[in-house]
Amino acid sequence: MNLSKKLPLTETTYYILLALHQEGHGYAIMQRVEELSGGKVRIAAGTMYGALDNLLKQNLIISIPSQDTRRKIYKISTSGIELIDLEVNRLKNLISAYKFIKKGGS
Amino acid sequence: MKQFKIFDEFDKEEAYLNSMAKKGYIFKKCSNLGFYHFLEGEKQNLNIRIDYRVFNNKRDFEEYKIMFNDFGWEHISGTAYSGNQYFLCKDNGANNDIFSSKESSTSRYKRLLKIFFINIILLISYCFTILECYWYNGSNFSISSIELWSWIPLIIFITMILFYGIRIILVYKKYKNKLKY
Repeated sequence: MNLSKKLPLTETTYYILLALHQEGHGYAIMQRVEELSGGKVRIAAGTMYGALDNLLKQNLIISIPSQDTRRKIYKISTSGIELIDLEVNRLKNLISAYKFIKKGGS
Repeated sequence: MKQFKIFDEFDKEEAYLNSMAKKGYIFKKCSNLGFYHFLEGEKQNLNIRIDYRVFNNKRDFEEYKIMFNDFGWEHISGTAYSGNQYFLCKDNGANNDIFSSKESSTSRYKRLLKIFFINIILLISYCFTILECYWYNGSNFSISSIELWSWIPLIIFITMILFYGIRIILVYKKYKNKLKY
């Protein structure tokens, strides 16, 4: 599957993938995202559940065994890491185009 | 108290349940047939939100409820297969929602339409199976040669197909509208 077809990522997906560089369950991911975004992004329960379900189906994250049998623990997969790198490159291009215009380039 | 209602929009259903709480009718559960059960209590502001999800196994369903609980939402009604899942905000924050993005809120309609579509296809195939049985049983096939009672299942299935068909059309209209804004 061509990963670049999944771009651009939604803000929710982007932050979840970033947060899952470190393993965690749903609520812990929400807290980490809030921290990473400086309190600006608070992912709600239904949005979080749906996003994790989708990411898992697309193999962008994996569910890992844990002691807490009631909560699933997730971690980013290798294709998830690849995808977020693609997204960051895309964003870099957008920013450099912005800088070019602001500097008065033509 | 029981009330029968059918909604084609989740927002309207949520608003209905919350307005009933303001009148002192506390939502307890929704039965499969569309009856809303209320307990009489104090007039209060409640924040009830609805998700739509069907689960293939009990474990996923339990995990789902636990995640919502972690986020401060108590699961009050719904089974693994019921689709509609009702949640009550534990700290009563009126602005709290179970969705933080428009896409995830709208995706409820997509899941609901998918389930309705599967149901209608199943019902149509049941109808054909029944008709086939009639065909083989009556050597001289004609409507009058079949006893009246044996038509009852077919009539029930056809009514259900019409019911699902109408609901699919109504919900699809709402879904398309939601996608626009």
